[in-house]
Amino acid sequence: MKKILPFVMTMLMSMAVLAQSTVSGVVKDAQTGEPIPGATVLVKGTSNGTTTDLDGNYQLSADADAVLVFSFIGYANVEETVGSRTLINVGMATDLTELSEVVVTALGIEKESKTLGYSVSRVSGEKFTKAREISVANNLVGRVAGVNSTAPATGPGGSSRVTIRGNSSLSGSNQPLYVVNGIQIQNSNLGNAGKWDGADYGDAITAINPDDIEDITVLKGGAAAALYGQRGRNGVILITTKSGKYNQGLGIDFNSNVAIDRINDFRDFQEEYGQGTLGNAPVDQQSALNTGLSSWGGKLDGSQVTLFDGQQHPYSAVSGDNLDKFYETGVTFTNSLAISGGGETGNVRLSMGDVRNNSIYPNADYKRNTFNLDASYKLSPKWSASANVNYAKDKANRTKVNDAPGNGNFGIMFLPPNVDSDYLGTGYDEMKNEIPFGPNAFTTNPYFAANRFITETSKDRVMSVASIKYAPTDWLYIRARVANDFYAFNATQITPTGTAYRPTGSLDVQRTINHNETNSDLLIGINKDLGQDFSIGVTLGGNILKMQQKVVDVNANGFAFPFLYNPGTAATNSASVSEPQKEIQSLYGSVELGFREMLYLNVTDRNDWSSTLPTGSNSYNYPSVNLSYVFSEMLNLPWMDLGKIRAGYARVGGDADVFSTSLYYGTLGAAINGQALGNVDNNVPNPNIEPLQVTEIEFGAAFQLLGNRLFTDFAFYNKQTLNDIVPVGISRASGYQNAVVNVGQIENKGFEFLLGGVPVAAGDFRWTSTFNYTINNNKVIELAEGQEILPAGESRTGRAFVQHIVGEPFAQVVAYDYMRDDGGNLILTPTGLPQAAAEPTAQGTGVHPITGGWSNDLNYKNVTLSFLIDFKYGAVIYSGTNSLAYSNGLHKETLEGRSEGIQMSGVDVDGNPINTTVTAQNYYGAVSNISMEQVYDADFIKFRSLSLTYQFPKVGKMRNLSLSLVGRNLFYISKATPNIDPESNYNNSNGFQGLEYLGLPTTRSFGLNLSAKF
Amino acid sequence: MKNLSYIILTAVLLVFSGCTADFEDINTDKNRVTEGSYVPVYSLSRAQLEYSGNSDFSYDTWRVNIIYSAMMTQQLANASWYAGDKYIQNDAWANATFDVAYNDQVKYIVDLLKLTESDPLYANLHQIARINRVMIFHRLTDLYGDIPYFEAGLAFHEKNYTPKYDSQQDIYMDMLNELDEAAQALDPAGDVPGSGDLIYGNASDPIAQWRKFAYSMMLRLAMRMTEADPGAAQQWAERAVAGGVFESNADNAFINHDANGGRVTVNRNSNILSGEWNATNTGEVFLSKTFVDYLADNNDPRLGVFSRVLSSGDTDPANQIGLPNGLDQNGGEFDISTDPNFPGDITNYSTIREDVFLSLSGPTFVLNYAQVELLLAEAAQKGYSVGGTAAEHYDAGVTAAMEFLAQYNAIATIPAADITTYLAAHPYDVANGEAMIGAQYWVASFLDWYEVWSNWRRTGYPALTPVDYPSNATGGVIPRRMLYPSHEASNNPTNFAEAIERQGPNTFLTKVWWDAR
Repeated sequence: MKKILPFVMTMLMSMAVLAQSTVSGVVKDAQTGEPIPGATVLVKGTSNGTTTDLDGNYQLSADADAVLVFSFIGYANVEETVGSRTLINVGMATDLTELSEVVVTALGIEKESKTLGYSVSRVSGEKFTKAREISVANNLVGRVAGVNSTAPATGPGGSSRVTIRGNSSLSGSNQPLYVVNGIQIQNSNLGNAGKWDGADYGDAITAINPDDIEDITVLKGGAAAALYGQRGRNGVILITTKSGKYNQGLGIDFNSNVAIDRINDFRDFQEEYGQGTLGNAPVDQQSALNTGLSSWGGKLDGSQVTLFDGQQHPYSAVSGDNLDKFYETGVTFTNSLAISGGGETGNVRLSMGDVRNNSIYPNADYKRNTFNLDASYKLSPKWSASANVNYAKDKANRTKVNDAPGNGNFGIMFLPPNVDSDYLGTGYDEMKNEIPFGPNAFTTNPYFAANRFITETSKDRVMSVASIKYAPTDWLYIRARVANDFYAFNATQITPTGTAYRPTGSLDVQRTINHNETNSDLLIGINKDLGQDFSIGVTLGGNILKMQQKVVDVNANGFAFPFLYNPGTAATNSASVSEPQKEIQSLYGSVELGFREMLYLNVTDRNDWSSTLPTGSNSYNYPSVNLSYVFSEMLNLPWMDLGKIRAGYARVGGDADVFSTSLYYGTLGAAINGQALGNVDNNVPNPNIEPLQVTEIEFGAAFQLLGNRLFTDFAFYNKQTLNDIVPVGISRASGYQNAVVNVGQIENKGFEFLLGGVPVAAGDFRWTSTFNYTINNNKVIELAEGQEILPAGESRTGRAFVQHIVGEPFAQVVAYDYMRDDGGNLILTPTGLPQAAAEPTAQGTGVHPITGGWSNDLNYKNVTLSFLIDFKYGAVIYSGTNSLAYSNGLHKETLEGRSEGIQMSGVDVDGNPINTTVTAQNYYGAVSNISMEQVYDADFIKFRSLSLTYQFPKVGKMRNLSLSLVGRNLFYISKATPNIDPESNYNNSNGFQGLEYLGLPTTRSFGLNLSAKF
Repeated sequence: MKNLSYIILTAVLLVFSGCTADFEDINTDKNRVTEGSYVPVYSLSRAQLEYSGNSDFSYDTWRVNIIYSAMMTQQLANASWYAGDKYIQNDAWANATFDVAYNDQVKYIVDLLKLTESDPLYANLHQIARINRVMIFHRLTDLYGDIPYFEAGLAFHEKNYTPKYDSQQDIYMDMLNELDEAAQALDPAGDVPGSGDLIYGNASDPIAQWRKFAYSMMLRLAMRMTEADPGAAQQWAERAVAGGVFESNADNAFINHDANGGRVTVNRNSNILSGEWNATNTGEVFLSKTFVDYLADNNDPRLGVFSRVLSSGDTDPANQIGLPNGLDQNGGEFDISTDPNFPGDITNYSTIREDVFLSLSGPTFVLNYAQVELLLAEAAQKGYSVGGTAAEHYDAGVTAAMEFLAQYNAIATIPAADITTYLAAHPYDVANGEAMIGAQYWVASFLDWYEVWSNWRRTGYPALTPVDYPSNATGGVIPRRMLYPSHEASNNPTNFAEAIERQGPNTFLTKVWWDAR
């Protein structure tokens, strides 16, 4: 035996050597037959592997008993035992569940999703490219449980509002951190209309070309985001752009998209009575001017009536097409071209994107050029490096929104039924002076507003990252990385010469912002199996953030030369400069312990030191812990592919605003007889401000059943914000108006649910469907001592407000009810009109607590039909447009009582009964001030997007050619708001959720998308 | 492994090399300054300018000075929307001075006191700040009665976010003391504030001027107490005279405005009544019939200087028609056409001469010599030892009031002969002295309607006939007080409630302490 053993061993060894043969094959998509380039082929249990080339081909050496694992992001892994085969072709099925795949987690660390004790959602890039939006953030609507995406009604290139698991701060930002290829980008809005007129200057996320996106990963909760420190407080959206693949050869991707936008005209105004007042049509030009926007005239009878232009026009309903005529057909062309290539040691991808949009608003447009360069290189077996640079240049002329001055959306909306928009001409005379059409100079002629007002913005943004990685062994790596986000932004807002309310014009905004933020980090990662049962992963890192910004503002009034808006030629001008800056230093680490691929425990900790906090209290710590239990590993049920439960806890926080710890002196922007005038803010600086804190607990479970035919994922979370930084109104007699204190407490509790599967898979037909649903219960628990209400925003009408109220959800829309006595009788004015209650009352939140979507893909051979229906429930919206429609006599309800008056019964202030008849004009004028009447249910179900794609058969070198017919924001299946779109907030900030007033009308889009890959 | 240790070491160095030592520097705003680099007199400039009316579209001037004070005291009238004419309550307007004065005047003057405290370089500036602080609070308490005073403006320095309200009597006693101490502490050989002092910065001897101003202000405060505390009034009036009050129009305290700075630095009354809002030219604001008739009935040579017919620009005194208070243009019982003297069209009424009074760079008078002499006349009439007779002071006061108009504009120069004629026609009559003085003070304070209203409330002169317009808030009597803002009820509830408990309800009719006639 002693001799036999070495012999047998030698035999076995030589057999093994003999059995090692070359295996090759093609990896394809099981459904489309399209080759999959860049798929990983790995001999199980070893680091021996390769990736497929551009045509899906691979080749490697493997033993006969080796098991090859084929994996590619977005597909379920396939395992094949080699045996005697030398050709192994593999068809990979799309992995709908996205549960067993590798996902990118905080700091770019890749992990298998089953090991995670928190909720992560992934959306692949192709979801953004067909029925597309200019801003990627707007495309998230309805896609991901727990994510609420809204787009203000401000036009292309406008900003977006994305919140994850509700709003956690009363005054701070509630939007997530965007991380693009590891670059943390600042996504603050650059300008908005507040209570008064203004324009949306957009935000940063518009710098991303959707065609460059490989995928988006949403880290929803604190446990997922804790490693990002304070910036991860609102969740994180990780965007990974496409890159070349090793060994792929040369590839060219081309995508062309054209979309046509048409406005949604939700007006349902009365068309029986025309312009005028007290039931009379205008009698001459002057009386027509006096009643420019008043539809309280006589019954439309077709007679000839003199209007504001001095011309006779028929007194008939002709305003029906006004919006269709004023607003143009918007067109957006998007073209993207990418070239990629990869060899043994390096790969590179260069892309160019071009977006040209002509807005529906006359003379408004948006243009964007993007360039993205991505490269990776293996310097040696142990050293590798990669870099990515994204440059985006955009330029826009934007519409003003909200209040009437300079906002063309205002005048056109309220033209009386007998006024055709054509009567307004170009809006200006031969001297380029505004042609008045009504009594109020501040209601700008809509054509003058569109043709002459200027609101231009331009932005150059460069996001770049370079990293180098050293992996001395297969269980250790060290990565050093520098990321920079830079933008130069310019905004110019001009009230032109000839404006009725400001004949010599003004330069309202001339703003330049230079923003620069650098993050340098170093990461050490260790991953090791400890014996048979245990594995350990350790990550340690440090980061330094340096942010610098410079903002220069110039304003000027009274220009010497018409149409020249150079501040140097103005009677008065003023300028200001500010340079916020900060630095945050961080150390962090995480330890992950695994047991039999079944139980995973992950503990993380991060400590930040921020320059914005006072010395001595500028250090703060964010721990998190999470646990994942993959019980399906133990149960081993044939119908259960995966079953896991998870739990996580995290604490994150945030620092203070820059420069908020000292009292600063400046001067007013003007001098008196050469003498400077001191200036001090009305906010008391607070040197004792502390970081706010959010603690979050989440539980969840995920199942993947019946061979991936059915899957579900759900999560419960409870997120508590403590020490929220709240500006408190203090007695003005103290010399100041606000003090910033750490007192707020807010709660977000919610449930996220995802259900999906393949209801039908028969022959060549396959229907996959996913449904997501989220309910987030938000509650303001505490404000400052004795404070019940924190005012946040106010409608231009002055009749509705947004307030945070103790005991109620965030962003209550507060409006006036009718004034009534204890018996419920209306308390009328002495003339018999209804009046508003003394105090406004909360009508509901402006933020939808319930959001969700139903997404479907139906595939038959080469044809795929995809559609998304989404819904939001539980919020209200105050419509300033409807308020004015009442007082102007346009609202359909104002027809009642026109001829006979409105019979009123109620009491006077002393309780004596009043029974009288009032005119409809007076009555609805009063109703327009009872703002509760214009608070509507903002619930909706919307057919959000549709695409029909034909995949052409493979020809020659062309890897892929597809053509799609697409539609976006097609129609509402249900909505409850008369005359307006329920999604027409005009401002994306906290204080204006639930307020509507003359934004740009929303649109529906149709288009074509052509995608070709060579 | 050697490489590895090196990299780890670098990492640690990378993280800690910056350390946090420069955090304070990073978090320092280099575009503004902190206390050490500030020029304190800028705060004096700001406080003084804001006292002349708010830099944000003349917020308080428009609402309290024009809409309420000028209209209620029947120097101005309107048939448009200026609620004060008809005693209609608009809380936001009646709050306006309280709303802005603490943020824009008190904050700066209190901070200036802190910045200059015990700094020998700023010894006189500190005393001037004390005097200006009295000037500011004097108006505030006259309008609202009990107000935060001792604890006001200290949110930053003492973290006092809810200052308590002090009784007007306590405020007056302290203000008088402050004036006395500050005037005595002024050092003729000490620092001078320079042109940052918008009132006396360019005077040849600003310190002497501030001393005179302090005692003249003391006289005004003292005389305000004649009804509430006659003993103290006499004592302080006599001390003021002993200290040395204004002696001629050359002593007048005023702020010259500057049209170049736009809305921020223009004359506040002019900003609204002419200039940007242009209320006198759009037919919103007219001279009151009471005012025009008083001047006309007495053949006052000032009528043609004050008044012009809106439509024609005619300044002939014979053609001036004042608009009666309490009328509207609604076609009903109170329509302007019901005025027996209705000139056919509203634009045929008289309004303020903008060429004289409403220049955008024109002065805002804070305290003038005429007021001082008229107060001395009243003091003499009451038997206080202020030197001279009531008649002498009366004559000096009326003369000064006519002569100083030239300081607005040289075209407003009243010929000396006209003044002599006027005084000869209206010799001081001891029996009717206080009424004569009161009426003259009323005219001499034109445009400073806060002061016009306060002195009228105290003395009851000139006798004004109130209007009784529907929905007025007072039952047809002239209001006695402006209203606290409602945000005080929410942001300073305890102290606010205590003030109302002590002083009376927050209405137009509750009288302030010195209004004790």
